[in-house]
Parts: sequence; C-alpha cells; structure tokens
Amino acid sequence: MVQTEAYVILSMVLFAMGTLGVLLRRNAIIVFMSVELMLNAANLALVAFSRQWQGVDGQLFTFFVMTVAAAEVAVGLALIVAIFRTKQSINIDELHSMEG
Amino acid sequence: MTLEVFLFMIVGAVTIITAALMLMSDNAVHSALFLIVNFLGVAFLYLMLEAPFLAMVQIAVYAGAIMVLFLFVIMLLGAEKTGAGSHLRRFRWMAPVAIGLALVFMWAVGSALTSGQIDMQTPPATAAQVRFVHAVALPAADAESSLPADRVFVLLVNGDVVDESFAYGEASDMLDIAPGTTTLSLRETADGADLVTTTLELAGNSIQTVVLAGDEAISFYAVPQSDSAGLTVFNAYAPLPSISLGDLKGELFTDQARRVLPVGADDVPFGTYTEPLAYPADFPNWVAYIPGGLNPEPGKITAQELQQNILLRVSEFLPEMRYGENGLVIFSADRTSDGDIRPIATRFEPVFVEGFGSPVRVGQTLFTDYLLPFQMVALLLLSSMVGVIVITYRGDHTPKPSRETRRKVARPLTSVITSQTGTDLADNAPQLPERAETSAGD
Repeated sequence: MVQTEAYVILSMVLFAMGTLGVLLRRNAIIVFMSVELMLNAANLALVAFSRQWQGVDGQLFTFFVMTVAAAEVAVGLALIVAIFRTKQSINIDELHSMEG
Repeated sequence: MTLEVFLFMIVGAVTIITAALMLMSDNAVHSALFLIVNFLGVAFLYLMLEAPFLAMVQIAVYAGAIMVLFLFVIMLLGAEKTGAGSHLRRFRWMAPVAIGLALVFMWAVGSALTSGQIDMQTPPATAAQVRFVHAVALPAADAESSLPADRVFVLLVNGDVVDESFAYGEASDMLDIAPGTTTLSLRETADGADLVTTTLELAGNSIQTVVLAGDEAISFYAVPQSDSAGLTVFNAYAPLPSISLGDLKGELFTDQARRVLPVGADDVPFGTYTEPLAYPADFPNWVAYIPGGLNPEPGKITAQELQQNILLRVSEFLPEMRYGENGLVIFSADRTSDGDIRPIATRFEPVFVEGFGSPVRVGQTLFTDYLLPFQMVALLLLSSMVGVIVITYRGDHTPKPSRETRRKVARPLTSVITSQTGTDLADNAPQLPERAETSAGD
C-alpha cells in the first residue's frame, strides 16, 4: 500500500505548479486551467486522508468540490467570453480598466 | 518495490509532467489536452485510493464535461496562441515572487510531514460488527443437565449485558463492538456466575457471526463474514461428531442413476465452518448425511442407505436461496414436540457489506448525513446556470423588420385598377423617355 505521505507530497507538488500557473501565465483560460489543477491537487489530498481515516467524508467533500468547480468553470468561462466581446483579448495584463 | 508503488510512481510522474507541460505550452488547446491527461492520472490515483466512484466522476465530469467546455471556449474565441513569451511584460517582479511562494508552501507542507504534525501512523479503530446466534438446542425430554432447562441465557460482552434473555433460535442484531480482545460470557442470571467465558480477537471493520453451540459443553464459535458468493455452512449439530453435504441426484428414478455429487463439504466436524460453497442454479437437491454413509460410486446407493444416513434435505430449507448469493447456513439440533432431537438448517441473510468508496456507500452518506449540503450545491448549480445566461446575454438586439418596409412589386395590379376605374394610375409611374422626344431634340 502506498503511504498517505506520498499522495500528500504529490498533491503538494501539483498544487504548487497550479499556483505558479495562476501567478505567471497571462492567458485567462490558462489561469483558469491552473485553478482547476489546484482544485484537483486539494481533492487528491482529501481522498488520500479519507483512505487514511477510513471515512467517506473526505470523498464526499471531493464530490462537492467537483460540483462547485463545475459551476465555477461555467461562470468563469462565460465571463471570459463576455470580456473577449468587449476587449477582443483575454490577456489579463490588458484588463486593467478597473485600476483607480 | 511492489506493483502498487511502481504504478503510483509511474502515474504520479505522468501527472506532474503533464501539469508542467500544461503550464509551459504555447498553444491553449495543447494545454487543455495535457490537463485532460493529468485528470485521467488523478482518476487512476483515486482508484488506487479505494475511491472508484470518485474516479468515475472525475473522468466523466472533469476530464469530460469541464474540459470539453474549456476546449469549446478556446476554439470559439480563437485564443489558441497565448504568447507565452509576453508574460513578464507588466509585472517583472511576479516570477521570482511566485516561485518563492511555491517554495515556501512546499517547505511548510514538507516540514509538517517530516516533523510528524500530521498524525499518519495511527489509523483509527473502527468497530467490528458481530451478531450472536443461539444454536444450543433444548435438551431431550429425559436428559440430565446442569444448564438451565429452557436454555435461556444472559449474554455479556466485555462485562456488559447485551441480551437479557438469549433463547434458542434467536439471532441478535449486528452489534458494533470495539476491536481488540473481547470477552464473551454467558450467565444464567445477570448477577450469577459465568457459565461460559471466551475471549475473541476482533479485527477492526470485520463482520462476524458468533454461534453459541454445544450440547453440555457450550462454546462460542466465530464465523467470519465472507465477501465471496456462496453458502458458508456451519455445523452446530452436537449429537454427531461431523456431517457431510452432497448433491443427491436421480433419487426419484432407478437405483442405477442415484448418486451423490460432492459439493466441497465432506466431513465437516462439529464447531467448524466450510469455505463458501457454490450453490448450483439447476434444481439443487442438497442433503446432509452421516459421513461415509452413502456410497460415492454412481448407482450404488440403496434405498436403505438413504433411509438410515440422510439427516436432512438442505435444499428444502433454502427455498429462496438463489445462485450467486452469499449466505450463512447453520446446522443445529432442534427438539421436536415429542422431545426428540432432530437436525434443522437455518439460513441467515447475508450481511450486505458495501465496499469503502463504492457508489452505494457514498450515496448512502450523501443522502443521510450530507443531504443539506447536497441541496445547497444543487441550488448553487442552478444559480450559476442562470448567472451564465445573464452574463452572456446580448441586450442590444435589433428589432425585427416591420411590415411597412417590404418592397412593393405589384405593378400588374395597377393595370387591373386602371381597367376598372378608368383613370390611369400608371401616369404617375416613372417611365422610360419616349423616342419621339429624343428625335425632336435633334
């Protein structure tokens, strides 16, 4: 049986990579995909701890996270489409019209 | 290195490499495809983590629905080329800070893991499920015994009374008992001395049936619950040292065709149980007989042997037993109204053991303990759907062209009107210049 620590370390690496993607990439869609990667990394840790403690609760939380992620992706992509209509770009750096 | 560790390393490496490729790819479509592979790898890890339901949801929802939405939007907007080189244009200080943040995060998790602040080594003790079955027959009418005549006992587990009148033929409900060494005892009255005391090693999460059997010397016998399909047979019939089971064929016809097929339960001693036996689909006629009493050679069983050796027609006691089911059958002694002892078979419904992380287990928890969050998530999905429609709705639509702006092409109609009214409407209509005027101009 693979130890829970191994899964937690893998989840940590994936989460850090997702963070890098969110902070470094300028394409809004890639940023969104990096957020999905971070959510998946958190899910992996939840499922690993769920097995460790032999309780289904962690798996149910993962289920809820997936559902919320689906809603979040739908709304976020709709926002990206709406922004692209007005700005003709999804580069985050060009979306600074709300600066004071 | 076991196969599981090997698979974990392969799949873990695949997820990390695809995540890196997703981050570094210039083409957004390639990024989305790498992310799909990453999600499939995570789904495989869910399978290894005993979460098959989540693995399927991961593939269907994440790698399927969500990523199709991503690809659709990328291609709708024509935003494949992301220009990875221009990412440092505005915030030059972003890259080192981001890498620093990631390193700090990894250091925090790593130090928490290595310093043992996450308690990994002590999996919790989950209760074992145990049910008790009273299979000690009432004594024959003329028997002498030191036990209570009605064989009703007080059952104690670890010194606590769990059943005050445990009578013959009763089966208790499933009781949750903490794992470890458990002391089972029987008393005649709650305050009296122990008649029988046994210690039992219970593993966590295990499911067992503890059978109380015997004639004068009563004992507890633990029968573990089996996951595999088939019939587990426990022999609690005290008057004989052992019994055998066989499938009796051709009994109604001639002696030549009569034979006993082995079913894998020859000579089961008292107080033991068999491995799960496959219960056939085609008209089984299982009988319990005295070991060695029936001639195993085909056609050599005489009617007298049948009379003397067959204890019980088991299949008559299992009318609802179907092929592929699992169950527990206990042979025990029963006292007839005449005071004689005869064998009977009692079938106990199988305990439905749901695997950890299976859809049924997840669904049961979801619809009992987590019903409110489930409903709230459903509302969230509904409101996000409405929100998406509101965000992407174009309000500045142009009105439909009205009736007046249609072109009139009814020139033949004017000639009809002219012929009926007498006045020539066609006079007002634009006309070609006449040839006479042009000639006059010359």
